[in-house]
This record gives sequence, structure tokens and C-alpha cells, in this order.
Amino acid sequence: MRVKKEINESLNKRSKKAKLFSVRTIPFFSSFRLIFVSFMFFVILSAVSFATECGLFGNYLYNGVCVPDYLVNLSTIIMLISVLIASAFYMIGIALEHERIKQWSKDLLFQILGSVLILGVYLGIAASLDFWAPSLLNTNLAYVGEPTVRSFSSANWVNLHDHVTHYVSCLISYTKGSVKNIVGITSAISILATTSINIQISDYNQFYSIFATGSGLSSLVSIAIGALASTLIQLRLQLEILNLNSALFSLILPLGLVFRSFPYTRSAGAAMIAITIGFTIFLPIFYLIIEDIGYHYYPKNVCLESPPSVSFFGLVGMGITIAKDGAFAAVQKYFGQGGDFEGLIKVAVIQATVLPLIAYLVVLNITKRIAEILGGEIDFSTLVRLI
Amino acid sequence: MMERMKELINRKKERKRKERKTNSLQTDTLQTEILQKNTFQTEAQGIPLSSGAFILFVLLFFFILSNLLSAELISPENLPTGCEVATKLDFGNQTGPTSAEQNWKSLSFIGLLLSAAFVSIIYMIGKAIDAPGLMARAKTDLIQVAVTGIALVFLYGILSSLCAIDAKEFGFGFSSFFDGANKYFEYSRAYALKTYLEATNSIMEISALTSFRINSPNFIDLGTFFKLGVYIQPYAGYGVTIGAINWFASLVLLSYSLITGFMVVLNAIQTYFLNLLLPAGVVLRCFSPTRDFGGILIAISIGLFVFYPLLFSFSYMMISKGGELSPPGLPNMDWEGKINWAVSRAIIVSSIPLGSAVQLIGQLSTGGNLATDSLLNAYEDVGPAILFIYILPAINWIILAAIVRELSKVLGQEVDISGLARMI
Repeated sequence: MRVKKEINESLNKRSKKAKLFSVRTIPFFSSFRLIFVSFMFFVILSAVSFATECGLFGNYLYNGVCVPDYLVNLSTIIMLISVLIASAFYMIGIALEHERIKQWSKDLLFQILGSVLILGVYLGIAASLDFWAPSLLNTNLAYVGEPTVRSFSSANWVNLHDHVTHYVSCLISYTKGSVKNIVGITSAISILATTSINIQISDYNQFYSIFATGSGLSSLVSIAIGALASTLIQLRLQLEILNLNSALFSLILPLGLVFRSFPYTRSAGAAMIAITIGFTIFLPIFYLIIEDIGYHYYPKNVCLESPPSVSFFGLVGMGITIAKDGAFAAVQKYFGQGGDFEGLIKVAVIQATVLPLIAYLVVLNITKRIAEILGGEIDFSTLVRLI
Repeated sequence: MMERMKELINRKKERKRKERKTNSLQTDTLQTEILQKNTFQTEAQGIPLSSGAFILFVLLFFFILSNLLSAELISPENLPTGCEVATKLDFGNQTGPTSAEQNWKSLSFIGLLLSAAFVSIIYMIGKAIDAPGLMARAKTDLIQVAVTGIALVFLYGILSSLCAIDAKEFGFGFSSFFDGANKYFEYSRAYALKTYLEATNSIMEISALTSFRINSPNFIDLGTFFKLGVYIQPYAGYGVTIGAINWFASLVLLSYSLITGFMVVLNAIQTYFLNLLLPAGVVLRCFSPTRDFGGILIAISIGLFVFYPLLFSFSYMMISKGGELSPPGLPNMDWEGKINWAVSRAIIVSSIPLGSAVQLIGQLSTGGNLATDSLLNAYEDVGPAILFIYILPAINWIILAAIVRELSKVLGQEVDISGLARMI
């Protein structure tokens, strides 16, 4: 009887253990299957989307353009290897019944799946830009219902990035032309200001300066040239940053995904992915908003507008105005509403300096938030200080 | 009776003494058990251990000092690359930073052995004086020695695989990531130099032009009785641009120094961080009182040795669009020739009898246009220089700070190196 009891007890214990094992494992396997299926779905989806447009390997779709690439594929391979590592660690965790190893491998798996999801979403947004970005041609993002300057030059539209770089290039040309013209005007005024006539009648000598007070303009013009020079420099910097677009997409994004796959470089990977998303998706859209706000205040196409200049007769007229009505009236006439230099001030101050600065600050803030969502904390205070 | 009483009292005393002895033995064993249980949590105040660590630290300090002194003998041209330092163990070259006695692998191995020996001695002392706390702590330290050893093996594996990747095979313009970082710095420095020379060229051209004067005392000569002279400074207006270009030239000069500083930092990281900081960190990490500090040293040395060049090689990939950049050509510094050419043409035109004034003005404006073009070129090139020398390095430092923070959190105490980015 006693032996029977013992046997029954041991059998019961075993069945309980078996039940526990089955209860513990079945939900895991089903959730694992779900994760695995969803992962494979993303892999196949991305593979199919590449395959339909660009061929299976070595290419990816970027804003409607097929670009050869290694790193997107490399990052996919590394993510797959990471999945294998996570699975191996999970097996070890099960074998050793070590909860921490199991938890660690699960976390790793979820992070990799997160990276795959980010890649899928990002590629989807970038690829869909081709479809929805042209609708921005006639849509004013700043003042709803107002016309856009883009709609008049729709023939130049290739894609969002090209349009934005073209717009910044136009701002550069406009500023360069303005600097050139202002230097020309200053030099013309200076010729008058430095010219003196020597009248000699018998032994009597007298020097007359034609426009002695003209040299007083030099400090004012020097400030204006300095401001335009810094505008030109930062516009060139903006263009260079926009030109990094393709490099950010083809290099920093996949490297960020690789970095994000490993625990100790996760925050760095998150920062890299966030920077790519911020600077390739949000920044170009902000430039469209800048263009719209700029057009609202100065309804002329900067790409077609010639920089302000004063002809020889204009200079004579300026001199007459100063002589007749005083310098303040001349400043109002040329720099005030409807004046020749009004456009320059609006373009240089609003479109080229203030709005881009705000846009960069906003993009950095968005980037910081995206990085936080992706699991990393980055301190952009240094960059903000540089701006 | 009295004798019996005395005997009884003595027996009682003996019994009490015995009880006290057994109690003390029990508390001793309890204490040892508690200590053994808490060994993984308690960090210690054990005097012999910290003195052992102190002796080791002093020894290591002298060792590092002697290495640094001998390092002065190494010329910058002979500095090994980061991958040589990481993977090579040159037994033949006894004076180089990669030689056996200065290599991080041998130093770390020796450091681990010495630490294990010290820990064993401490364990022996603990056993001899019957101090279970000391023994337990020594056991923990021994486990840490083993863990550090395993981590070092992993590190060597990672470094070897990183150095085995030849980026040229993937179509990039450099072989190892150290090579990529070097190329980035060299290109940025060349670009800064080009921009600085352009700015200087422009300043010199404008200065030369503004000093140009036309003085004609007998412009209208009506005999000795009446003369009308003219004095003109045709390019005086260009002087207003000098203030701005001077400011930007000094900014570019500063950036040239900054990029040179980055290169020196890279050289120092390549040669000394793994060879000196890592072994020091490894040894300090083996002992309880200095474990956190050792972890920080390891995090900084690995973080900077691997990720500083890696991030800058990414930057090189970005600016070169994955290819190889040829260094930017230096500008033509013959400003004097250009001005002389323009002025001589103006003189020739003016000397022609009845030469048109419009032609003269046209020739004079040629010199002005040359100056304006060089000025605009200089202004324009400052933008990319700022990107290469300020913006991209600042982003790299931000990412680097995040990596080092994560690593130091794992290895010991959280350390924030983001303040270094403020240097920029």
C-alpha cells in the first residue's frame, strides 16, 4: 500500500511538472510563432518592394530612384544574425533554466523586431514620397488656400529633395548677386567720396572733395556686407547639410540599425536612426513651409528674381533724394515698403536666416524625441549652441 | 563545606566559560555565513585588500610613466595604426608601442595574473588569520578576474573582426576604420587650409586694390595760370568687405587648429588608450574598492578606441558619398599678377590718345570683379568647412558620449563625457 502511494505521488508530481512545462511553453511558442511570422512578413515585404522596383539584391528604392547599396542588405543580414543569437541565448536560458538569460534574449529579439519595423516604416515613407509629395506642389503648408510659388515652376519638380536643394541654391545665387551689386554700388559711391579736385589758379591751390560725407556710409555698408556674408555662409552650410541626404539614407540609417541591434550601442543606433529620419523627412518638409511663409511676405519667385541693384542714374537719383529730402527719406525710399532693397531684406532675413534657424531647432527637437522613442537619450545642446 | 562550595563555584564558572565559548563560536560561524552570503553585495573596507590594490596601482603608475617617457622616443611618422596596436604583438621590435612589453594584450594578461596572485595571497592571509570576510571578498575578486579575462578575449575577437574588414572591398575609399578617420581629418584639414588661403588671397587682393590711387595733378592744363588736378581712389569701396572676411578667416584658422587637435587625439587614442588605459582599468577592476573606477577606465578606453575612429570614418563615407575624395586643390595665390594685369591694361587704355573713358572704367572694373569673385568664393567655402569641422564632429561626439555612457553603466559607474563635445 505504502509503495503504491509513493508511486502514485511520484507520478502525480511528474504529471504536474509536465503540465507546468506545457502550460509555460505553449503560450511562448505561439507568441514566438507570431513574432517569427511577423518578422518574416516584414523581411519578405521589404524584399518584394525592392524586387518589384530595383531588383532583388544590391539596390533599394529611394524617393523613386534605385540606388545601389550594400549597407541596407548588410544591416538586414546583421539583424538576421542577431535574431539567431537571441534564439540561441533563449535556448541556453531554457536549458539552464536561467531567467535573466531568457529575459535578455527576449529583449534583444523585441529590439531587433523594432528595428525591422522602423526600417519598414521608414522605407515606406521614403518610397511613398513619390506619390504624395507632388500634391505639395499646389498645397500651401503655411497659409491654407493661398497659391504656392512651387506651382508656377512645377516643370522643375523631380522630387522633394531636389526641389528643396534647388530652392536653397536660388537663395544662394540671390544673396551672391546682392553682395556683388552692393559692393559695386559702394565702390561707385566710394569713387565719388575719395575723389578730390585740385584747382590751381596762379599760385593759389585749393583741394575740393566732391562727396566728403560719402565715406560715412562705409561703416553702414560694412555691417550690411558682414550680415550678407554670414547669410551666404549659412546658406551654403544648409545646402551641404541637405546634400548629405543620400549619405544619411544609404549609410547612417543601416549603420544605425546595426548599432541598435546590440545592447551597448543601442542609444547610439537610436540617435543615428533619429538623425536620418529628422534630416531626410522632416527637414525638406520644413523648407517647403519656409518657402510658403517667404512667398507670403515677398510674393516673388526667388529663382527668377534678379538681385537688387542701383544703376548709375539710380545713384544720381539717390544723391538728389539725399540732398533734397535728407538721408532718412532715401533710406525709406530704397529699403522701405516697395523699395529696391525690400526684397533683399525679406529674403535674407526671413527666408535665409530666421526661418531656417527655427526649422533646425524644431528638427533637432523632433530628432531628440524620436531617439527617445527608439530607446536612446541624446544631448543635442552642443548642436543647438552651434546653431 | 567551604571547599565543596569553592568546587561548585569553579564548576559553574567553567560551565559559563564553556557556554560563552560555544556562543562566540556560533556567532562567528553565523557571521561568516552572513558575510559569505553578502559577498556579492558588499564592497569592502578590508585594509589588506585596498593596500594591495594601492601597491598595484602605484606599480602600474610607474609602469605607465616609464612607458610614456619611452614613448617620447617614437616619432609621429612611426606611430602604429590602431589595427596594428589591436592585433599585432611584435616581439621583435622592443621599442615600439606595439612591442610585447607595451602591448595591451601582454600588459592585461600580466595584470590579470598579478591580480590573481594578489587575490590568492589575500585569500591565504584570510585563511591563516581565520578571517572569513576577507576570504569571501577574495573569492569575489577572483571571480571578477575571471570575468575580466573572458571579456578581454571577447574584446580581442571584436577588434580582430573589425580590423579584418577591408572597406575597400565594399567600394569605400579606405581600408580600416582608423584609415577612414585619418582620411576624414586630412581632407577636412586640407579644405580648411584651402578656405583660409582663399580668404587670405581675397584680403590681399582687396587691400592691394584699395591702395591703388590715380593722381593727375595736371588733368586740365591751361598753361601756368590755371590747372585742374584730380585725385581718385577707384577701389576704395572694396575696403568695406575686409572686416567680414577677416572675421571668417580667423574662424577658419581656428578650425584648422581644431582639426589638427582632432588628429592628435586620434593618434593618442590609437597608440596609448588601448595600450595603457585598458590594462590599468583591467587591474583596477579586479579589486573591490577600485572596481568602479576600473570599469570607467575600460569604458573610456574601449569606447574611444573603437568608436571615435569608427564614427569619423562614417563621416568620411558621408562626405565622400561612399567613394574616395581627392584633397581639394589650393587656390592660385598670384594675386599680385592678377592685379598687375588688370592695372596695366587700364594704363594702356588710358594712354591711348582720346581713349574712351568707358573703356577705362571697364578695365578698372575688371580688377574689381576679380576681387569680388575671390571674395564670394571665400565666403562660400566657409560653409562646408563649418560642416566638416564643427557640425559633423559635434554629432559624432554626441553619439560617442551616448556609447561611453552605456558602456560605463555596464562596467561600473555612469560617466558623462558629453562635456568634451563643448570643446568644439
